[in-house]
Amino acid sequence: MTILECKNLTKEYYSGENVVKAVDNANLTFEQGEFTAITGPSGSGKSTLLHLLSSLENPTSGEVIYNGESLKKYNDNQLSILRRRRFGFVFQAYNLVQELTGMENILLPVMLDKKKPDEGYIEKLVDVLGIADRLSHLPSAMSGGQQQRIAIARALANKPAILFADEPTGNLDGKSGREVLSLLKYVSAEFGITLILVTHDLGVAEQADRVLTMRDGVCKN
Amino acid sequence: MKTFTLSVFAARDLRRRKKQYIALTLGIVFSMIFSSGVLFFLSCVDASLEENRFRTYGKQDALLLGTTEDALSRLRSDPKIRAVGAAHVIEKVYTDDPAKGSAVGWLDETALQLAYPILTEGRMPSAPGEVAAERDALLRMGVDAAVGERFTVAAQAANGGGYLESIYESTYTLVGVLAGKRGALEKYALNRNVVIADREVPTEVFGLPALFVCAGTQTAPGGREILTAYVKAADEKNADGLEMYLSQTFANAGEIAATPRSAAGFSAMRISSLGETGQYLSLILLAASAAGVFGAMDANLADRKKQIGLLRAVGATRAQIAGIFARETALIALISLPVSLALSYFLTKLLIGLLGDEFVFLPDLKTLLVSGGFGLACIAAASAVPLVRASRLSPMFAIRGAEMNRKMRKKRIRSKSFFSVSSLMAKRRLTFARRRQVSVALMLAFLTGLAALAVPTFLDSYRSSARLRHDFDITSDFGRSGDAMYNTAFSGYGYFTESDRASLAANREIAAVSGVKKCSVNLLLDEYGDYFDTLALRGSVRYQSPPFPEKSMTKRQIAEQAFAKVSPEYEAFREKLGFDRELFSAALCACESAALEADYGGAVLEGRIDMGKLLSGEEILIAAPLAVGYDVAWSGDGLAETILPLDGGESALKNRSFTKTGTLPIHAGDRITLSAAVSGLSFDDWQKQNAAAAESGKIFLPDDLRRIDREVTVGAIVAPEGRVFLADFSLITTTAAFPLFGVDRNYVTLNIDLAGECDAARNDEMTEYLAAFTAGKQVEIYSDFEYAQYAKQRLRATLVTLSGILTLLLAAGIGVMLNTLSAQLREDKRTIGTLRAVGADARTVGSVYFRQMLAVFALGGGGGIAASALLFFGWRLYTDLNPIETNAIRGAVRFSPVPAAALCLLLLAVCCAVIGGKKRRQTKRSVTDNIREL
Repeated sequence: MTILECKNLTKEYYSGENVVKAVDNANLTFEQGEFTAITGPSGSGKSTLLHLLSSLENPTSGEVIYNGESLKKYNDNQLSILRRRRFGFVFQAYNLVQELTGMENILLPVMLDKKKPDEGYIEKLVDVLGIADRLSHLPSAMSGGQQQRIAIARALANKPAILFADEPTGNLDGKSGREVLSLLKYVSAEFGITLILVTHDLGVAEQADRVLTMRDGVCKN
Repeated sequence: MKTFTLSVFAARDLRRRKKQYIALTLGIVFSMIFSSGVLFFLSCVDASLEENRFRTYGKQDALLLGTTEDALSRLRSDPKIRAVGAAHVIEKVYTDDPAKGSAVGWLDETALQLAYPILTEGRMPSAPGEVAAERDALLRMGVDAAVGERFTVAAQAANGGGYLESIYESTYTLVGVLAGKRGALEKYALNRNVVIADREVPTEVFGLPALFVCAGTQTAPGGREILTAYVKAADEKNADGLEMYLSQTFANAGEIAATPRSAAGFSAMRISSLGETGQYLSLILLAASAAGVFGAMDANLADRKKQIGLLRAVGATRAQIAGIFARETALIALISLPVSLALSYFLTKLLIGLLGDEFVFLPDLKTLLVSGGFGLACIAAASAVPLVRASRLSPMFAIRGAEMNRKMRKKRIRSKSFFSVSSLMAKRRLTFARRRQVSVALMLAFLTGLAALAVPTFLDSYRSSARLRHDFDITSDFGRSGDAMYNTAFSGYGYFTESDRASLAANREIAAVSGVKKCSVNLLLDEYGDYFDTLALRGSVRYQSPPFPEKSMTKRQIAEQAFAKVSPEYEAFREKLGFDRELFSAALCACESAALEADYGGAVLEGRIDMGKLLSGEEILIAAPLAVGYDVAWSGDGLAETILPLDGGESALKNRSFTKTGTLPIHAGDRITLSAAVSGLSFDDWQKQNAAAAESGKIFLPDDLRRIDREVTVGAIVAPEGRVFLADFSLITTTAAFPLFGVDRNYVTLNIDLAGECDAARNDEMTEYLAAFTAGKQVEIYSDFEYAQYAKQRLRATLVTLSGILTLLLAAGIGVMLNTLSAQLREDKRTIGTLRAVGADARTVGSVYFRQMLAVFALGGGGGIAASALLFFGWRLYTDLNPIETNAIRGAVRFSPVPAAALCLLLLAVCCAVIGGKKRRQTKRSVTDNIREL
């Protein structure tokens, strides 16, 4: 079942008189539970595509459709609700809130929804990600790998339908990177979550069910 | 390849970051406007005071009255003298009374420049028979001519050193009216001897013309001009010592009168007062703008910490870092300089124009250049600290958020498993950025504390500024006169006769003249008691003669000793006049019934005022406090005794600590006996006999001393207010009943009410007139207009200064708070992006900052109000325990939390509005923009 698609999706940036097409007329579909890798050289527009698909960025033209509904109709509040309930995002630079502990960062989307957390589920997440001993620490007291695991836990805390990951292993050493990748694959399979991952590492891309290649803003299967 | 210098870097930075530099540029422009404005304004105030001095007295530094041609020519060749002009007095003129006349003369060209006559109407004379006269001279003489009309006066020709006996008539055409100078010069420059009542010396109109005829006019046949030299010193240094120099070098060349170096009078007071206010305001605004520059630079550099860190990481030295930003600031300052100076010039001109005619606008090139330099110096000073701080930043700022990490590692916090996102975020921010928040809270606390005390205090004092009761008072009463044991023929100080009163009343500018008479009477008492014991310590008659206390004595012991022993003079007086009761000497004041009703009708503490019985002498009023408190303390090596009169009576004594207290033992309706002791000795005889007695160590009392007793009923006790120089304990009767008490006197004070409203011009005219009227007598002139205006002026000045300070602090407070929160918003771009990425809406993000602000405001505002309340009630407790020392200012301070709370709310509203706008701009951008690396 198609859970997410984009039609004629374009993003342009203006630099003086120059126009840069970061994403050029992308038409893609993503199936539920699928692991898709988007790869390409640096500056090819893969992160921009991910941001457009996850509603972090507004397209210049075209549309993103989630579960049959165009996100064009959504206002800012509705997009916020969508992001905390249906989408999860893992950044290259982790982007944890520095003032909150590991547990508080994980629970952030749940608390934003003013819901009581599913304790059993959270425990399982923590267990799977191996971060039980870091929960009461601030991000400044964690290594990169630990922070990224917290970020993954945060992205999954509200049981999202789609998990977006933008170079999640980019800032990690080889061992940590491999561990994080396998965790992402595992949770995606375990919880039935669609995983869309951006990477410039072909070795990472090979592990996906499907690979999309971007070059100069154009996306090819 | 082009050379890449620090200046090039600075210039490029400026071009790239134009928007970020707007705040800094504005701060610099304003700072330069105010700094140069301060100097412009001060130079204009100085010029205005100087101009006012010239208009009041003329431009000369000294006058030499009744001088000679020889002296004039010696003066002209003296190197210490720059200019000498001569007034040629040809006659004196008057209508009825020569003492109220004026000299007529003409001024040579130099004298005309130095005398600086100010025409208010018409022109100076150009033909024989024409005259221009000072206004107050016309008023004094009672000449009712308008410009263009002729008038005839009696005249006596000048005789070189005085005037000829023969009287003739002079007829003039009035062609111009001048602002008076002679009155001011007579009051402040010309010395006259003290006049004793029974040897009155008529005022001699001598050598200073107040009526001006055309140059070259001759005296009447047989006469000889009186010459007066107008002397201008060679320089400022010579001017200060000119009087001394002239008295040494030109000792017998005439009466020397140095012109005062500063002007007196209402206009001068107004210029000084407004100048002072303007000065404070300018300095406040300057400090505010400097703070603005400081804040803007600080914020600018805070924004660029990463850039600075990077520069340091690639090898820039601290001096190079400081150099880059100093160049940027200097470029802005230099570009802004011409605009700022021009704006400052025109704004100062506008302000001076608004302040009134007394002010002149006179900036010069030197002031302009100094102003510009001063402005640049202020900018440099304001930007120094941020520059030094910036140069000290670690390279780690470019690599990690080193500062925040360091702070966070030090803190212990408890992790929560259920929380409100905005509430927890706000709380954590307060924890991690405590220093920032505390400094904001402290500023807020200071602001609110100040508002809670200053605003109600000022409003209260503004509402209750006192006034005198008449437009003008002229008085020869310089102390609490009248409380002497006996009256002599000359001790009455009665300068103003019925004729003086009538003469004033005849002036068309004056609606009514009432008078006050005074003499001394003794109140007969069965015993002194604590009340009169204490009051007697304040009087000029010492009934007690205690030994000087020792330092080891307690207050109570000192007090007991102070009241223990009566003086030998007192005992001798009682014995001589056969008093078997105790005596308390008090002033008996007599005023007219209408004035009495007006002054005391609303001040009755006990009883009622029955005018019929007051007029008949059956009753008197007592103006006295209902209670008195006495305290004593050592001050340095001396003993300070303080007596505090208290109108509140017994209730006012509660909760306050005194060594001794007393309540008034006399009440309305009581019968009392007053005894006036009188001696007819002349001043000379009295002086001789007193000196002889003192030589042989005896107590002197005149042989002819006699007593005149009178029993009266106390009609009412009134509060001792309303009259200048009323003693603590006074008796009041009417002028009609006054002679019944055995002593008759001239008026010690005349109270003058003008016809119509008084304004500044009328006030100045009347002051000049009264100065001329009372010339040669030891008299003080009180103007209610000046008194009220001065009091209001001071309060207005305080209000303006206070408003300026509060506005400055408000602006600074808002600026600091907004800067702090804005800086936080900028630093939080990523966090905002993260929150939005995980699904926080704009409202949740805004709520984080709002909660933070609320916490800081609650802490700061509440703390400020609490601190000021503590100060206020602590102050009240202190004044209760030390009533004597703090009586004058006990009620001066007020407290109200309302203005403080209002200020707090206003600040919160402004901060919410501004930060809300900035937050909206952040959250309007895409989430990716927020989280993107810089």
